[in-house]
Amino acid sequence: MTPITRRRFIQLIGSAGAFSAAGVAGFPALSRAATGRVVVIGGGFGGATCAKYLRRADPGIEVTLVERNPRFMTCPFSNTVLGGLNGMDFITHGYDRLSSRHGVTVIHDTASGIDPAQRKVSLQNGSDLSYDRLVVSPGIQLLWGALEGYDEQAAQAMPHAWQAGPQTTLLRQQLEAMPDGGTVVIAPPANPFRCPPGPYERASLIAFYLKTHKPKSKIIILDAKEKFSKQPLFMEGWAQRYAGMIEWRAGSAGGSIVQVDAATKTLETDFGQVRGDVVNVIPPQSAGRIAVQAGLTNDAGWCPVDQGTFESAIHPGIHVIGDACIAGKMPKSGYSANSQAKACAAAVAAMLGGESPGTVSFINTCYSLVAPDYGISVAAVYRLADDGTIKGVEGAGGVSPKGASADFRKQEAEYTVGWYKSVTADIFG
Amino acid sequence: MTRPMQVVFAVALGLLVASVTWAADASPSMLGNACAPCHGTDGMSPGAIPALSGKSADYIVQRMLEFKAGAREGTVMNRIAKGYSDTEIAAVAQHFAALGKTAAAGGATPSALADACAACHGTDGMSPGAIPALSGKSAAYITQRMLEFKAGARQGTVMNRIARGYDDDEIAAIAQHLGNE
Repeated sequence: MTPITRRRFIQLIGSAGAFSAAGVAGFPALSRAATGRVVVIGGGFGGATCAKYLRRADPGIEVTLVERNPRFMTCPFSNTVLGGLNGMDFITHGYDRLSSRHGVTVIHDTASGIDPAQRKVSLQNGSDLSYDRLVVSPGIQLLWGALEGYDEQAAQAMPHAWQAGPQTTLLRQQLEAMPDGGTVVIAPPANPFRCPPGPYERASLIAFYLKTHKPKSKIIILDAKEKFSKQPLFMEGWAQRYAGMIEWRAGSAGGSIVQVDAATKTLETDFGQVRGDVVNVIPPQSAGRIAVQAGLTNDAGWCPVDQGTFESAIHPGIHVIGDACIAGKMPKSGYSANSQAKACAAAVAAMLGGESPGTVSFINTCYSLVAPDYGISVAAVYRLADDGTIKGVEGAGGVSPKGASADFRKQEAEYTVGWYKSVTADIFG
Repeated sequence: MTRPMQVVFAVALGLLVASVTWAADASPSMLGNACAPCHGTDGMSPGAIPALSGKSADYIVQRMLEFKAGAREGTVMNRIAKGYSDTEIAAVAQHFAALGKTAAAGGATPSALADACAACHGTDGMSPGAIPALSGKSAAYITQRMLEFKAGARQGTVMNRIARGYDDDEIAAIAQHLGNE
């Protein structure tokens, strides 16, 4: 432990003052007018943030955001809807302020194609959008059929609810309709996938609902993996709050699913069949459809990029951010997408202005609610390493302490809600 | 100031603690924008997480250094603060403080602030009389004295009352302007 001496403190303030006096500490050298047209595909955590921060970086840039939905429903906090803590309205956000306050042109349509050579995006309505630089932030697509028996039709019986919206409502309705004493099965996929702690927060908040309303029920997690994000913390929380209610099976212990049958809500594992009254299958994923279609993905289905600018390693002039891109050690999370979007916006603004992009710096914090008054987190600070990949800064980051006090968990729960308010305002406000 | 000059300056102050394994320093806005998902856009948190807007640079620096050193309890900030060098912490603190100032009334320049001292402390702090000169003093010395006056931690005649008229950023700016570091 290093105490902060007064002298050291003063030194630091002195240095900050010196930066300020030299005009360095304010905004980076993006103030020069960098006109250009940027099209952003996808109005989620990555795309909407990028559109807004491009306009903040330089109001001379024309930014057009293409998003198919008139309103956006966030995956973060959709588990609170499943747990009955919030309604869908809580996780629904509009695009009005992006246009009225930040001058982003928002087009509600689906991007049907990208022509990297002509630098054009075609829309489903038949029109084209020309760009100088394109940002693609399509999130994920679900790989129908990758798990045998799980297709779009099966998702109506066994919802994934991994893209917030009608699927979230469907899963909530099924939980409400389930009789006391029923079994909920949650089946998370192998890595990599969107929101690594998400399935386990989901189990927690469904358990919170069941404990209150249907206490004889149970939850079985059939996991493709051997371990999961924040596992010791989740396990500790489950033991404290939902003893005996949540059973987690590792892939090698009967968790790995080989086939599903939607008609009987049955999952086939190496160790036999598991039937649920409510079954939540989270299937394997890849980068969003438009990224795959435009040839921006590698063999594994994700988009390789220059991790300092997020420019595609395949098609120059196109940047890919958020869940769809390969961003070194950063997880596929809303916070990551937001952080990448800002770095990408700064890089695009610099490139349009004929300048070299600056050095990037990222944060990710993933909060999870074990219960409404019980929050846990994992955090890291990320930088671009010399080998060109994003890595966590050593000595920083990590998870909440095990065995922390109830007050500590409560404060993290309050900060979980605080994070949601802040990040959604940062994106849509 | 050019980037190499910044580095020289930082080294001169002994601020570069560890060898940097990453590329060049990220800009203050690049660093600060990554804080927004929790602390709000430009530090203006709308929720339960403390806002950074309206906080002085010295407040942010002190908190961050305490978090980093493990000298202050936190939930997530202990883990985050360790990811930044002291130079970056100072830069990001200045960034948020400057944003706060932009939001408030237009701040006075350091020289405009310091020129008001000249009636007692002499032009450019070179007092010709009984009142202590400021020229020849370091910025750190001036800042420390001013903060002590402001906090009532140091006896004074008139300076206790005057120091309270300045926020901590302004004190740092005045000290930097008049100090000879």
